[in-house]
Amino acid sequence: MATKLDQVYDRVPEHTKLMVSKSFDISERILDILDEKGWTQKDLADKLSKKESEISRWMKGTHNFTLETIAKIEVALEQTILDTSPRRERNVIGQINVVKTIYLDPSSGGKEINATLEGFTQLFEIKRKLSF
Amino acid sequence: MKYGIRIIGLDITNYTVDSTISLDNLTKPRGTLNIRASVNAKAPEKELAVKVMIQFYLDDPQDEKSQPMLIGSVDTLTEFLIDDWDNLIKRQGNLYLVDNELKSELIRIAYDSTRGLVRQRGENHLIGKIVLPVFDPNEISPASKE
Amino acid sequence: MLYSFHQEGYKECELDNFLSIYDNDENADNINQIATALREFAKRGVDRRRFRPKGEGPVDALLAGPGQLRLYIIPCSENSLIVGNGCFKNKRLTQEVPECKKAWDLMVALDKAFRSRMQDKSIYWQEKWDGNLMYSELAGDLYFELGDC
Repeated sequence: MATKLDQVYDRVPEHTKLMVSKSFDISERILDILDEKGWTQKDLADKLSKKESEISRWMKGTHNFTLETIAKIEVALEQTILDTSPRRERNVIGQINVVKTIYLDPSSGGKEINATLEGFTQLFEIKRKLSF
Repeated sequence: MKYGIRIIGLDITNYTVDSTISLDNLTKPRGTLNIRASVNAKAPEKELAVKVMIQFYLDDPQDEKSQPMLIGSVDTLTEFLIDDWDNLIKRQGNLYLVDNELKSELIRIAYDSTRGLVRQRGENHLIGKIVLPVFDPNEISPASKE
Repeated sequence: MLYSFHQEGYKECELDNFLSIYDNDENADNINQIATALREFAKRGVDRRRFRPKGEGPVDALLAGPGQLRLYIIPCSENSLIVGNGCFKNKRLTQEVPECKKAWDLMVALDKAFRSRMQDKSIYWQEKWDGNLMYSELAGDLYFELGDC
């Protein structure tokens, strides 16, 4: 049975859905940059001469960011939040990492072998084939 | 959970999708997953990390005899802090001995997290349309040399 | 996953009650935004960074529109929100608006009781499998007596 929330959501115009989704994307990007820089929301608020509570409100996903606000945030963070450069034709999304294949001989009893991760020692590896 | 395990990191380290293939016309995509999972240790920090690597192979429904096609790969890294390190991980010379149940538990958590990450990240890509099946890590034997 | 709660003697759960009160022509845009945000949280998960920093208490609010219609929520896991009631906060302090105070106080009381039960394990997360997805669901004693809220 459809809940009341389902009924509301079903009538929400597409542009509102897109707006909220983009607001989530923008706030997520801001949060990621803050993490990278080791900044708090208060640091960003100070840079923008805003209250911390206002930045906190922006992070909830319902804020309608204006281009002016986004530009100010980009200046404060020294990073791009919205990238509107033309999309290039690409066949592959993401980065390809060549993963070194290391097999562990179970008869060795878990012998220490080459690390696959920097600073880590591989202890154990499993392989499995599954169907979907 | 009987172990004192805390997840301190969870990341997609590789996400590769062949975007030329569309699953739109496939109502129920069929194929195979090659899954590798390794447990790794960083003793001084008492950290264990599980790397899960999944390759996605798609069957061609029009031609059952054709080779499955590699359509993408996803690697994730889940890092754990182990509270009771000295009791659970023993070192004998160059050997690390880790409790088997703990290994299975770590792989289970890392794989389940990977399922969630793939679903979320792949929302707009073909990989997101593939539901990763569950498996019981206890059924898995260690990798052997090929 | 979204959870709401049902007060004894009330016809609807808190979220439905909020929608019954505020979902009208005047507020439709605000309600649309809040409903969509709830869906986004259900879809993307609950990123803790979006909520109040440590020490400010776990009850938070989703806001929409210039009139600041708000819906009170409690992030309770990486994938779950408890959704309560809401109000228009047209004064500076929550305590100055009776609807806000009522909804807020109830959420604070519920949060306290909820966390205490999570600690003593009378409420816990249970893993479920629906044939496609593994997910966690709250289980245990979910009946609360919260006094006069």
